[in-house]
Amino acid sequence: MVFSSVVFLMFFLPTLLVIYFIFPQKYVGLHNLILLGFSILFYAWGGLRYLWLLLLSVAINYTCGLFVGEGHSRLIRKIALIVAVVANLSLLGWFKYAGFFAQTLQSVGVPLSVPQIVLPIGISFFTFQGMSYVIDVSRSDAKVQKNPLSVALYVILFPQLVAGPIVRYTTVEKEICNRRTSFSDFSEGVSRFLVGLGKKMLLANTMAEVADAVFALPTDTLSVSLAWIGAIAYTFQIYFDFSAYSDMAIGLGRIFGFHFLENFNYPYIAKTVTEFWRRWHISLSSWFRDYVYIPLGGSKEGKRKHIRNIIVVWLLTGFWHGAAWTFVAWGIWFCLLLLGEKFLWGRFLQKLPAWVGHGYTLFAVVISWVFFRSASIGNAFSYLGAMFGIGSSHMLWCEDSVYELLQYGVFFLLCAVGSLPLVSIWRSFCTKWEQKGGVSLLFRIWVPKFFVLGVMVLSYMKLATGSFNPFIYFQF
Amino acid sequence: MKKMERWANLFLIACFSLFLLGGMAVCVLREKETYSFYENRTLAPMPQASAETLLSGQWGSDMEAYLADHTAARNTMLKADTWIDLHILHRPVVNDVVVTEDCLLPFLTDWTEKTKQIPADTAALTENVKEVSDLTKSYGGLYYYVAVPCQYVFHEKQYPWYLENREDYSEKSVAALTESLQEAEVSFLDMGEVFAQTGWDPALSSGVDNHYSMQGAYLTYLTIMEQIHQDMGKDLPILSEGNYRLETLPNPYLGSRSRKLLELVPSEEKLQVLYPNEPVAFTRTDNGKQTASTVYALPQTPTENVLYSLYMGGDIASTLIDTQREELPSILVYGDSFTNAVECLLYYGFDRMYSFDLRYEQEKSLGDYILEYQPDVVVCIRDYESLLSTDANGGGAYVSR
Repeated sequence: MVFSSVVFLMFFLPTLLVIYFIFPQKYVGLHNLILLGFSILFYAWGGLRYLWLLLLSVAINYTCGLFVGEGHSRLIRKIALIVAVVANLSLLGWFKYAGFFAQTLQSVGVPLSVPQIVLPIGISFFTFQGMSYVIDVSRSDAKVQKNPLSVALYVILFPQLVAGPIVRYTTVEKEICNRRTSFSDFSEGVSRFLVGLGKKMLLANTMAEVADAVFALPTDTLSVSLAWIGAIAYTFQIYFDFSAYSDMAIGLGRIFGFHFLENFNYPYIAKTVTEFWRRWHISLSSWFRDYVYIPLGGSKEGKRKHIRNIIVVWLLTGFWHGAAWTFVAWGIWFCLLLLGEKFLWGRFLQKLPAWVGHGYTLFAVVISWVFFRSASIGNAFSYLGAMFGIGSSHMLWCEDSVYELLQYGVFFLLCAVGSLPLVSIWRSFCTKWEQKGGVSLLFRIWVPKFFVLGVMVLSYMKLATGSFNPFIYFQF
Repeated sequence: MKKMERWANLFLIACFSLFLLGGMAVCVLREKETYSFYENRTLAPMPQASAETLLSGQWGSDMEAYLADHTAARNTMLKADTWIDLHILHRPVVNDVVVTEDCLLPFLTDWTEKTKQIPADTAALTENVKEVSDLTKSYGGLYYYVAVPCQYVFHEKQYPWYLENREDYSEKSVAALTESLQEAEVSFLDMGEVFAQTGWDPALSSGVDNHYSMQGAYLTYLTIMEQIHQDMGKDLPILSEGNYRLETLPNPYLGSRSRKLLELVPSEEKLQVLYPNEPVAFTRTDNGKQTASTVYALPQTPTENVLYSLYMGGDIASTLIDTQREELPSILVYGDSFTNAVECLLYYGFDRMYSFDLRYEQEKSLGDYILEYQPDVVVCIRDYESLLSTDANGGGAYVSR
């Protein structure tokens, strides 16, 4: 089930809201049970076949969590932690990477049959989430949760189950047992959800039409402009698609009294790649920082190990995104840039005007998304060649470029504007004009409400006229 | 301020809740349509649950497809979305329709690869068509393969310069087929040449539909009849000038393009029907059952929309029009929907007219029918877009089973 579907909007969500809020907020346990039941239904909607995997993941993390906490011997805690990590990574490794490794080995002559394994939805997210619970408990950052239903709720909670953000247990530990939803929380949750819905239905899906059309063309027929149009379209698509899901997850969480952390912070305004990664998929980058980079020593054990640690993290980050060499290449690209900024040109970059930094970062990011989107490494390089006129077509412009701009130009502009921190811009505009007596309170409070309602209507219009539209990150 | 914020929050929550609950109520309670007129397709049915489909998630997917097709206010949303694309965003292509000043054209995908396949496709089609032609000739019949320019060919100059009009493909495919059928000694009539001689008179084609107008169909009919007359050396009744009257129906014409745009682009174009001044009585049998003796599915009222299916009632698996004039030859017609308008005229010159839409035929092949009825003339009418296709409409792939 996806948030941007009729079954979710018209059936799942209203039913859940009615059943949930019909009971007074003091019955947290009952509320949790309702949320857990609906979350299981949410996941099972995609097929009962892999529900056992999700429940197994919960069972492993719950059980190991019981033994990694204080009160057990160091040995037991260590064993439990190892079991949790190995079990989680084994499940992830089998379902996500077994086929890839078998295929790779087969291609170099090893006689292996490639297992046909269906990737369970959201496995990368709930595995990392479950692991983080056990690790946080082992570090005494969080208390052991003895109630299995609470652990289950933490892992399975539907807003972030299938596409993040990767919520740390410490973020929701208290709220699982004790939370209230005020009208303001509910309203803000609704606003956030609707903004996310709008990003997905109006922007991401539209950019997907462009990206899909251009990336489907043989790369040797692409003009320079068309290749860039396709790459930029995908740059917008992936941002609005993924951040939309995070917005909707955060909004839904807020409606039910949970306060998830932000997952995106306007990454396309970054002035360096380093800054970009502090703004993009924050929950994933911080997960790798806290559970891989820092345990390996981070930057504190000399330059060599520092570089090693960065390489390990970025290889894993690339690999996490998918079982394909293109994702590994994508990770390597960012690894090189981050190393370059840290040890080579970082200081020089800081001295340049901001627009240079913005341009350099966007350029690097757009290039990276070509690897992310392409079907193969060869295809990615071929596409990049077309972007720089190295491809066979050698054309700067073509009719298709004109068509794409005329057909989608307005949406490219909307995406460019939508990538800016509009909420802060709006707030500072209102504050500034309020001081000058130009904007009334009525305007400041009501305009955003009507704006999100307008987005809701337009999003529903697109939903009613569209077809199934899976989120990009579902494949992870 | 806090009071106003609270009211604003409540307002938003109320609107959102109304949207969700109202939407759910409408989805559940409204009468379910089974067919979408504007999309010309059957809507997804309610899925049946089974252990297998629940386990695999197929039931969930099917249910989503079903609800997506039956969601509240879907048609209204379709119209709103189309209207915004047309009048606010002014997109050059809306719902796969290229909106020009004079006509509505199909948005065409690039056929560069298909153009490279013309020699192979031509050879394959020629082989099939020759088989039908030879079969017909084997008992002394005449065979014609007729190519008709479809709307996008007719209006290829109307396309904006940056959009594909398949000019290259159209030109090369017709040239290749002309040469190939000539070598194979199959009679080929290219209506493109005839239409070109009129200067591509706009009256011959539709501005809102893929098909030609009745005038274009009439010119095609005339060309076929003149060729048959020439080859047969026999005087056949022909609806020449002065022998018929052309009536314009007052009804609005909902062509396939305007249908895709949900009737949001008004058009003055009307459909015409041609009546012989000296009508010929006939019986009509569709799919083995006798039906009304008419070639036109006329509207009940002067205000309801008419579609191209006015001609012959649309695509029907098999039709027999029997005029009981045994002194005249018989004719068998197959091909795509461009045959329909021509069939309204062709029957006039023959004893019996057999018409087949082989997409619906499950048991017999084209060859079976030809051998069974041994029509004196066999005509295949294809438009330029599917000229080299060996699909069921072309009949060629199903000569013998």
